[in-house]
Amino acid sequence: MRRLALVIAGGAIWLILAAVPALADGGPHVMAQNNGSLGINADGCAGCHRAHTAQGPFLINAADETALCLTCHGSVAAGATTDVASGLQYRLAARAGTPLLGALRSGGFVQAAIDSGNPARYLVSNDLGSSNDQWAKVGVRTDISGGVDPDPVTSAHLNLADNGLSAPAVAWGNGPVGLGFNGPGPTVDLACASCHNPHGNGQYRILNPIPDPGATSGTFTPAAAAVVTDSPADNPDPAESDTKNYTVIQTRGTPGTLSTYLLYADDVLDAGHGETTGDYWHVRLPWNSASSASDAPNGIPVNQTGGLVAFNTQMTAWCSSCHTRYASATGEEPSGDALFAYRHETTGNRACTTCHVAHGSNARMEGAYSQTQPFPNGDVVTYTIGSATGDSRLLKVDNRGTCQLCHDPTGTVADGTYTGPVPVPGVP
Amino acid sequence: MTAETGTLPAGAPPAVETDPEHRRRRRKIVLLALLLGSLVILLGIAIWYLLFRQPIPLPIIEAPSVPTYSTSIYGANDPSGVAVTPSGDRIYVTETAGDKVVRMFDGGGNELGVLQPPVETGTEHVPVYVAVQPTTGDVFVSDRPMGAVYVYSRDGAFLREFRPAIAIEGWQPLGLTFDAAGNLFVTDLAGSQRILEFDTAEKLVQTFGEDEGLLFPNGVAVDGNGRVYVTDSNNGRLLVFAADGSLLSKIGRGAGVANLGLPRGVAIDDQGRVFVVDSSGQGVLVYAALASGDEQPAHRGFFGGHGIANGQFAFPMGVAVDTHGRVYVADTANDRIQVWSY
Repeated sequence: MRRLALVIAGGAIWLILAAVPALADGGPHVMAQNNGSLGINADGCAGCHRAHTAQGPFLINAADETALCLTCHGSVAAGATTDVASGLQYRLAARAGTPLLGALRSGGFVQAAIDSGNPARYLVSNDLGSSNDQWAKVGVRTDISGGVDPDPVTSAHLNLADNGLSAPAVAWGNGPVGLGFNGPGPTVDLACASCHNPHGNGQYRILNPIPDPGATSGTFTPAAAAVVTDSPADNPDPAESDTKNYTVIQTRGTPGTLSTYLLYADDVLDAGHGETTGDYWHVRLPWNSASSASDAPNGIPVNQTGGLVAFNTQMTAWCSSCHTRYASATGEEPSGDALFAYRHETTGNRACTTCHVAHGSNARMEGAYSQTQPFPNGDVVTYTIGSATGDSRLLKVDNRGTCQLCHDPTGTVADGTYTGPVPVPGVP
Repeated sequence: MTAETGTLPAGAPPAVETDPEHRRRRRKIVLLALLLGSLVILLGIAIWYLLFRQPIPLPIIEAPSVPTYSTSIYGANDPSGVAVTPSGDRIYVTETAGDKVVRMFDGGGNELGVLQPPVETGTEHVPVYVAVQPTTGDVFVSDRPMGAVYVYSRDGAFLREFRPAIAIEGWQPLGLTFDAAGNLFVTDLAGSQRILEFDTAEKLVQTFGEDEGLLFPNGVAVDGNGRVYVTDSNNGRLLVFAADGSLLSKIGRGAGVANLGLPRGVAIDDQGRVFVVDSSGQGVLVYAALASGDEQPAHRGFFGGHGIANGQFAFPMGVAVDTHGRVYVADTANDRIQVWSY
């Protein structure tokens, strides 16, 4: 009888815990006391909404939706662990070390800490056409003290007063193939909620299933994207689920475990990794010749269902719901579109997020060719970007070093050659 | 007199008394009677006034419940925290964008200098809130990514990092204030979020608030009775603790004018007025300090509103007061400090 009671009690606790959304995917705005699962006495609504005196759509109490988000998620991080202005992630749970957990995988809208000027690769094949085996690494930018060193962004998905950017607000490539040279995409009005659901939805990084920016000219036609689902192998640990590590760039865990990558903030700390560990180049993580493991950012091992291939496919599908004509299964066949005639393939490990970040990049485009690169509609950068001169297009590496992380066009570099910093084996 | 005409015959004497002496005497008597009557009336009024007089009430000018906009101080990017000396001659402002330093202004809004973070922090520093130690004039600054409190002289020279007598591993100080005696109160975001109180020797005296489920407490202030006011920001609450750390009162979110949205900075002036910045409410709520027997601090008013004009705010955060009735509000997204006054 006592055993039965224990089983029932345990089951009840499990059910309650299962009903509580995981923080990173459910969103901190949907905690148990507010989502109605434990009673209809929500307390959090008034933090952002007003029933009769709202200043913005959706009854938010601000005319500027992005500013409302940044009041918690800005550079002060006065109300959140995620600072999307500086591209930093804080931790709260443990009392050890400094508050910084690491750099955001997506960079920041005002600053980012991508070590874009110091990438590295381990060349496995010098064949331009066989880029699968290149192991690349783009680490966290550090200063002389060894701390995280965010740098002003040179491109971002939002033009803000603080980042000084005024790139064309075009959903590049949106629309069907065949629009011609005059159809680079509609202009849109982006805000945080265009991509994220502030109330939480259980999706990866509370992403909306389909991004929904408002069109300001032309017609915005979102393409249906694959629903980005969380990992069934993801095993939330309520005691430690303060921050899923896939909001920050990955850090390697203990080989042989379900995932070799650490999913939770406390795991990272317990493993002794600091805020500058991790690698923006998640295709081959960790960058280490002694290991070829490459789990997906959601922690699923590479060869399991929902692993890296599935994750990349979903990620590319999601980005392509706006940038429709960028998605391509091959770079060798013409698309039939006059403007986007040939496209780098975006399948397999060539997901959009392999080369680009979502929020903003501090990569510097000071080379003669990169700094003058026009946008797809022919516009050139006419605004100042710090001491750099070109828009970095959300790429992770200076100029077009992103290409070199996978390709050796000369065919002269010997296999096994390290270029850039040589990693310590076993350390991400 | 004839019956036909009704007139006196010629040469007949008049019918009324014509003695002048008699007429004067009679006039004097009438006049005297009138004077006596007036005197009696006046005496009666005097007696009535002396017996029943009431003080004449003077008009009372009510003190305004909220201050009025005076001016703004520009020069800090995305200011989050503000502190001021009691006289208002030094204003310290934390800047969270751009150089991310603390800027020092005089009472006229002229920049006097910059409080630089320690060199060893490199670029990894964001000063958030600031407070002036009342007995020494030293300036204490919380730094978010460094998880530290830095101490500067009144003139802005870096002195040291605040290190409690017994080290607190992994603390994340955010809001900070002093009471009149110079005891320091700090909100700590790490673990079970709480408030720490240090004495002037920087020894930890007590911690409290751990059991209240605090979520990003941004502001802390102490009233004249030693009660500690804490903005429990993400829970949308203002909590009032007794000097011993026991919870006395709370104000929460809601639709009422006295309710909060996203409270951040809090300050209390020498008149016992409590100023709470509501970041998402785009303004400042004014309460009276908690009175004995009251369940909550009495709401006095609100000032602000969303916008960029003078007197309007865009996601304000910190607040400070001097002893001249001036209220300084960090108007964060408008890149300025607004000064309001009574």
